[in-house]
Amino acid sequence: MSEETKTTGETDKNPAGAEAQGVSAAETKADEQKPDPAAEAARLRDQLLRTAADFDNFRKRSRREQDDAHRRGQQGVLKDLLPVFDNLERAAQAAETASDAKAVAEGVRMVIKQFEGALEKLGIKRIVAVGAPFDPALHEAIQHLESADQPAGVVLFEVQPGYAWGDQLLRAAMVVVSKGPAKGDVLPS
Amino acid sequence: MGKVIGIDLGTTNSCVAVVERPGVLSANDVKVIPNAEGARTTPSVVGFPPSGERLVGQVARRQAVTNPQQTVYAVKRLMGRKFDATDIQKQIQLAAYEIVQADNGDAWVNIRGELRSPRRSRRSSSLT
Repeated sequence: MSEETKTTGETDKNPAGAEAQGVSAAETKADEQKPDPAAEAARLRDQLLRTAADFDNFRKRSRREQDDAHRRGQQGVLKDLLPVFDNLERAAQAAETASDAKAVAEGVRMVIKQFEGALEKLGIKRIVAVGAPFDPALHEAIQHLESADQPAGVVLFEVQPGYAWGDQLLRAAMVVVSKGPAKGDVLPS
Repeated sequence: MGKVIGIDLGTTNSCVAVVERPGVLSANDVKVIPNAEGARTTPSVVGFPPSGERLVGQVARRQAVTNPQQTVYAVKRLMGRKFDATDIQKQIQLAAYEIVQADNGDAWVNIRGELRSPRRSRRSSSLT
């Protein structure tokens, strides 16, 4: 900067000389900017290696984080289910000394209700099956039976209930599907 | 750099995976792509229910009991095979769907009167 000021100051005295000086200064500058190819290659190579190493670390870390998140998710669900297990244990203990089987059944029913509450809290819903039209997106057909009172394609029985978690199917309901009336049978209107 | 997708079209299940960088160095470089249901493999099954839609994978398998003649599975065994081949004749005994002879002698599948090739139809692509 100071050199430039000096040049400007000298312009009046020797304009031609100043001009020559300016050109040579620009040339020197261009020379400085031109990189040494070998040094540049080494620099870029170093940069590439560092980036590759960073990326590799990032991949390892994100994999680890994914595993951790998976574990944490499971933890949340298990924590919600543990009280249900506690009560089931208590029910089994009580059943050993209880004289009234009905009271035990009532207790177990309460535990089921608690379990249903836990599922609801998690956003898990039971799939409606019996009486609904068979839908392979929700139901898994394990048997196809003739039925006098249900038209073809309707779910007759539920062998095992199915559950959905939001939009996702957790488990399809195992169902028996109607084939419609057997030949000779008449569907009641 | 483009990504490479690999498809394993299996007799029973199919699987799709992607390699996200050039040069496979370890199994960590290959990532299986889960299907819409979140499963890493998809049953190689296609169902043609009376409603006219086409069901693929797990959904097709769930309705197989209600629709055995129009549910195609293990169709890979028919690919590129002649109808007369002994193993195809054996498959005809085992399969619930109807295997027929196409004009060129290949083993095809008959779905409600419509002949479908295991190779060229959209079915093979819908299996993957």
